[in-house]
Amino acid sequence: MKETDLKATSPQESPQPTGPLSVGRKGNLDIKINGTRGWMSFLGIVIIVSGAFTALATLLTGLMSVWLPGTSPGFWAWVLIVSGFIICAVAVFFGVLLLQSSSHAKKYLSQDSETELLKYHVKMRIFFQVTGIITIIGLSMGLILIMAFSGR
Amino acid sequence: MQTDQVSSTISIQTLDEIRKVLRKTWGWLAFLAVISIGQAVFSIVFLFIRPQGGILAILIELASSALGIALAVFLFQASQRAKRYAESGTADELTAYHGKLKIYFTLTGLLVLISLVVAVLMGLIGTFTGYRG
Repeated sequence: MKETDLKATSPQESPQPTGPLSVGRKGNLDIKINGTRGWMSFLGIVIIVSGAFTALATLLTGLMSVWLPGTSPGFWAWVLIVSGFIICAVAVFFGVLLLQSSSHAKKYLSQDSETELLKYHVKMRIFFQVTGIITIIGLSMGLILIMAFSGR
Repeated sequence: MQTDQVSSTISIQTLDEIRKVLRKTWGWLAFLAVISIGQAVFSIVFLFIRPQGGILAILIELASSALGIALAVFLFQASQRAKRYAESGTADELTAYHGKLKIYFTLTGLLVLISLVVAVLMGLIGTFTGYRG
């Protein structure tokens, strides 16, 4: 991971000083991170596998439409195939991000490394940020499609 | 403040960095929560305007929307905790943020697990009845 990813880019200083984390609170934090970690790995694996299945289905559909005798893929078939691969790539990316977050959490818990704790938070930020951006893109595309088809 | 007299187990510098990261995270969490709530409310309203399928399908749709809202509420609470930690730097807010995230991921994981089990069962039942038919 780049050093710039770990360093906060905001030059704005915190208005109040950061409070210390006592032993009891750290134990509490560790229990919560440990509880999150397992489900995060599970979700990451499920997302990657579903992405792989989507890619396989898209590939089979594409191959069938290209090579089956008497059929030729039209414009919308290609759009469908390309969208399938994009969806698969995004799913794999999400899955990898979740697995990386989980891995950083595991390293933090086993090595008690502060850097790993920070990396865990950075990965979580990237995960939610990318999810938000994908949601905005999806909503915009949905709106464009509704407008395009309602005009017909 | 009572916490000022306690020595920190994680360096203040790292906690400061985490605070800065959370300052950039909470907005996205809140956005995703609001979108999820909007989506669930929209599907409930749509269900009442134009109900599709039988009573079982409607009940399943309502249950999934209610679960979606519950998940979104936990996500929103996490965002508010992250925001408060970014503003105040109180350790309690950081643990509360992780607590809400834990509930969110646990519920999501359980839902995915249940839906996977249901899908496999439906597939098996479909195959079994298919062979009999």
